Amino acid sequence: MALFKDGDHAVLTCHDRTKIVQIRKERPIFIDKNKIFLTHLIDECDGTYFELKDRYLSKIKTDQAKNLIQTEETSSDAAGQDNRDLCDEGTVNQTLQHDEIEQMKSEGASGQTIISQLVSKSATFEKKTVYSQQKYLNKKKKKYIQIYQAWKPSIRLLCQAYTHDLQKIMYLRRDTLAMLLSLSNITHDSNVAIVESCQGLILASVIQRCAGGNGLIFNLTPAGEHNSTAPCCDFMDFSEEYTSNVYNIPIENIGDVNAVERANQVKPSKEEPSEKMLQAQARRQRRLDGLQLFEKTKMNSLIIASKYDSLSILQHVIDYMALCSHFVVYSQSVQSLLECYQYLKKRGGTIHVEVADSWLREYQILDERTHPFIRMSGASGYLLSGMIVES
Amino acid sequence: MTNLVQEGSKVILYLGYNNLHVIKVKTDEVYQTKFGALKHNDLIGKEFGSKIICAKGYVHALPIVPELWTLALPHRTQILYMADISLILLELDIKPGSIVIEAGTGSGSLSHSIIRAIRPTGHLHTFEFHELRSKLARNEFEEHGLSPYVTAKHRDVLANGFEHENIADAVFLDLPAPWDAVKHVMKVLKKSGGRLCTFSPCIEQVQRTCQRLRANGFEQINTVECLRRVHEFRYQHRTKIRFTADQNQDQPKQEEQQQDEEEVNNIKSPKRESMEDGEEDEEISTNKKQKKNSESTKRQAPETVSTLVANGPLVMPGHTGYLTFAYFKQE
Repeated sequence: MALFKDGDHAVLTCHDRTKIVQIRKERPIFIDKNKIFLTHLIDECDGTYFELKDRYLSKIKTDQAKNLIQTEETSSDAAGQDNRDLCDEGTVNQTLQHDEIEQMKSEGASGQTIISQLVSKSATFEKKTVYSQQKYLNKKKKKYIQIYQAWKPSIRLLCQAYTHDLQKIMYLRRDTLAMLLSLSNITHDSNVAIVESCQGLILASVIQRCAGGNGLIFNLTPAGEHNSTAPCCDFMDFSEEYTSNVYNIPIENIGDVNAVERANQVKPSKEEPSEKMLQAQARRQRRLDGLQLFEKTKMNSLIIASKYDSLSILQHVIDYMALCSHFVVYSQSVQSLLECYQYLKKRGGTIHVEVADSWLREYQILDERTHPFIRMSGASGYLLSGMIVES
Repeated sequence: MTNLVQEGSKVILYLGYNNLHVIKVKTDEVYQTKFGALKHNDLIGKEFGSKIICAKGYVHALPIVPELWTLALPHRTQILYMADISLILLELDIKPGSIVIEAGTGSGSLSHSIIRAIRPTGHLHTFEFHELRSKLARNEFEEHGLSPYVTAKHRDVLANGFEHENIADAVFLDLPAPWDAVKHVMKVLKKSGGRLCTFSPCIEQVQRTCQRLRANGFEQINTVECLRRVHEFRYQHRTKIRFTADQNQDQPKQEEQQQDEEEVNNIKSPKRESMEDGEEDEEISTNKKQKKNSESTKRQAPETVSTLVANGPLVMPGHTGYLTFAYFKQE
């Protein structure tokens, strides 16, 4: 069972918030402008609860944590039947003032204490229905109780973390990502070509599914954007075994036989190379090796989820695809996929070409209060998928 | 796994979009398709993905790929489709090395996708209380070369549990009463924590399951529904109405404006006719004008705009089941 180590990434969840962090001894992270030290996460395991104490996240026992965050039953002797007599007079109903709350906070009062005060000084709490009381308490808990859970990173948690930053991952929703992975038929030993602008989320998913293996993973990025796919791969803390078959190659140069020659003609400088220069040279060499390997490899899967024009990318990479290979193109809008579809139909040699989107709805499941959530995502994006066959 | 079709290979014959058939290749056998007879001998030695010509058309020979298998497999039960399957794999963190428990096996649709995701180091333990179904699934796993990664057992898990303890990273339940399996799930999940997914068509089942999960200390309980909508491609031809108001205002230059049916531009309306007959009532197209108009319209084909469009299907799957996910760790 893997424990958190110094330098590992972790995902912290607190109520509805999900944040990806890196554990570094005595180096703080910031959540809502609060400085927080993660030192005590080291040597703890997945799913452990922590409370914020004097700027450090300190482990607390699970049942303790659960008591603090959950309101399943309210032992309310006093509750109303309905809201006919309740008037929403915000400033009058709650007699505990804002500055009193701030004072309690600065005196180090616990979230529980503040909530108890809020309840006792509320003019309307006892008139609310039992369900309304539970809802009220849950709302206050979200605000005043800072209990975190720490997790090892996973693709699911990365998707969760990006829910409030979807623009960075081209609004790729988790069900769409899930179907993209199925449709591309990625598995151990697959040769994969990826062109993405989703912070490396797709690349990381593919690396995880391939898990090393004899296949090759080509991450095609435009020149100058080699690191654009680094974030998610870093977050996943992949081992050397998983990343040794991943090649980042400049997409502009594929199919250009002269590109490698031109690169090799650069004369080495006569100076003693510094550590930094050696690393840069190694990276450059890796890119060239990747380019050459790419020319010799037949891909089993092609994934395009790029902010650049998908059609021209598809046209340039499709001839590297093996028989029975799978391609998937993601786009926020359907129009660019229609262009690709037209091209594929004309070209021939493809079957089972589909364009699809999806609908994802979340539910609140509680006794007597089961219904879908009030808000839902309306943007799944679209996937164009199919297989390459003999024409 | 070889790329070539051999004796004993399972092949998915792709005749068309909703037309897939599974065959097991055997020397000298013939399979009748709507395109004519397909001789198995023509398949042997060919690469998967090859086009096989028949009397009245052609088919493609494809390998057993989970998505196509889901569409082509012989149903012994209602099965799970790609939308639910994909979300299950993502939400349960199923990846190479994962140990997964599945009950019931059903027709093996989900099983194939799980195996693709967990190889080479993971393992799927799948249980089915119907003896014949369990056997058929086991045979299929064998025929598809998947036996190293899966153990398919005939077992009533509600009565007898999952046979193992503390081995699983993930458990998937597609049972009529999943709440009764919760205590067994708690035993089979790894002590360091694991995830559960239950699939239930009815909301009452979901409610009972969630109640039981909460009562037993499961966390991160959430329920979702996912539906996939495949769009239909068509060329949409839209003819433009000739508004007489536009024609009355413009000069007669229609001859110059013959348009291709395929062109997709915004075309200016025909120029207005000269107002020689100015004293006539402009609101009413006179016979003369009508004649002139109809003559000129005869010369010019009605303008049509053609675009490739994707429309939603008339009917689509509206409900398969609710997926409930949860996390459990022994304390």
